[in-house]
Amino acid sequence: MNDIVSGGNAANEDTLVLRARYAPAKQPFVDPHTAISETLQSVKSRLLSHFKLTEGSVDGGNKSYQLSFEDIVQTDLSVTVGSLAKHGKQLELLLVEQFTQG
Amino acid sequence: MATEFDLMLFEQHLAETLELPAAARWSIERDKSVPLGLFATLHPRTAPQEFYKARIRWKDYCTPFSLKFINMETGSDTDACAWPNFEGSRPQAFLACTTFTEEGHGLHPEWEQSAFNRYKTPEQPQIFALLTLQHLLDNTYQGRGHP
Repeated sequence: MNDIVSGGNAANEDTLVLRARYAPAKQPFVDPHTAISETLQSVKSRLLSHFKLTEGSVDGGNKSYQLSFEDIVQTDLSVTVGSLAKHGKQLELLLVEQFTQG
Repeated sequence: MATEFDLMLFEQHLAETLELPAAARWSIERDKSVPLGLFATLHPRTAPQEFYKARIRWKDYCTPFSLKFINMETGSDTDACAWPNFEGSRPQAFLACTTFTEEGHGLHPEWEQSAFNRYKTPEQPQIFALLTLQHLLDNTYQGRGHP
């Protein structure tokens, strides 16, 4: 498990446990101290960095990734993780690559 | 050609796949007619009554997998009605033309020449295949295929 510890001084009520899976990677990203005020955009940036991914122009196309919560692609990345995790103190996300179709 | 290592890894990965929380949505069985294959019955989030049986096979565990949807009564892999319409799916051609399938790369050999479309071998190919397929069904599903 690749635990990343951050925000260690934050009060427990201001944080949640974030788990995010990227399908090609065996181990999910886990951050047990994610601030509930963190936006999905910020989380996505951290996930791209963690999984060593880059969005944008690549030889042959434009690479992009989406965040999915409860099987639904999240289009508004300004929302906070706290607003998604309405019940409990955990949030599970899926980072998905946009694939080319022929 | 599957190596002994591939076979060992495949069995280990199958056990891991079955332990995945998302696996509660799937019915998974080993495809015993090939060394590296499985069947998975899935349904889209928006159509929980519509079940599709995917046949996923690897000739080589490091390469894109073959994806077919099977008629659950006859076992046919050439029935467009057994196919879901989703991004990349071509029910009438009985294939998914996308960069993670063997069929897609068969139609587009040029994909392997570009960094953007080249297949990157996942660490756990079964989980990659099933999570990707489920995601496409959940977010791009547009009904059952027609002949």
